[in-house]
Amino acid sequence: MARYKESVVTAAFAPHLQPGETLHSHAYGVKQPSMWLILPLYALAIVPGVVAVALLTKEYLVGLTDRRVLVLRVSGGKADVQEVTEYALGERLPVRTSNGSLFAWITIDDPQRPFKAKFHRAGYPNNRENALAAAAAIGGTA
Amino acid sequence: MTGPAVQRVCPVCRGLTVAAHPHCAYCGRRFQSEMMWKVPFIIALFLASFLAAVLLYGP
Repeated sequence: MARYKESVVTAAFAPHLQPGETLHSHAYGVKQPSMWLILPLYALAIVPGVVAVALLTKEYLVGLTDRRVLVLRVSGGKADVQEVTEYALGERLPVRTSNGSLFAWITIDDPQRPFKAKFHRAGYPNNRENALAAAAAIGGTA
Repeated sequence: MTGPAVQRVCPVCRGLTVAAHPHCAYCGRRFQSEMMWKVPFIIALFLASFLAAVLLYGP
């Protein structure tokens, strides 16, 4: 898509043409700042956003046992456990699930133990399936 | 319908305390929200980034 309309370009050239001179063709170009400047500026814009998302993201491990669904909030490379939430099997909790092409979503609308997270298909083998199975055990639909 | 409340792991003694309580039930350590340092850190990061961009692209 052209940056300028034809009429705008010809109007821009018109005052600079000599008497009887005609404009045959025209082109549009740019000269950007040096890549040595563009790259650091892009990095300055992107890095704080990436850091903010990383800091504000909570990580969970969801386990289905023969008695409970355990939700561990973890952090760090060694899965340091920060919080533990448990849901007994058979509890009919208001659990909502959805399964997309990349993520499975689980939302538990329990007033005392709310939980919401998404599970990427590449997180583990059968990651989405296991997450949905845990949700189904406490009231969701697999 | 509601079962056991969310429990927090004490970073010092590893004991489990109901997350709504402000202190560890075992060692008494006061729990602080992570947001106490994360939010100011993120704001400072954005401000520093903006300042650096202005200085880098200045005349």
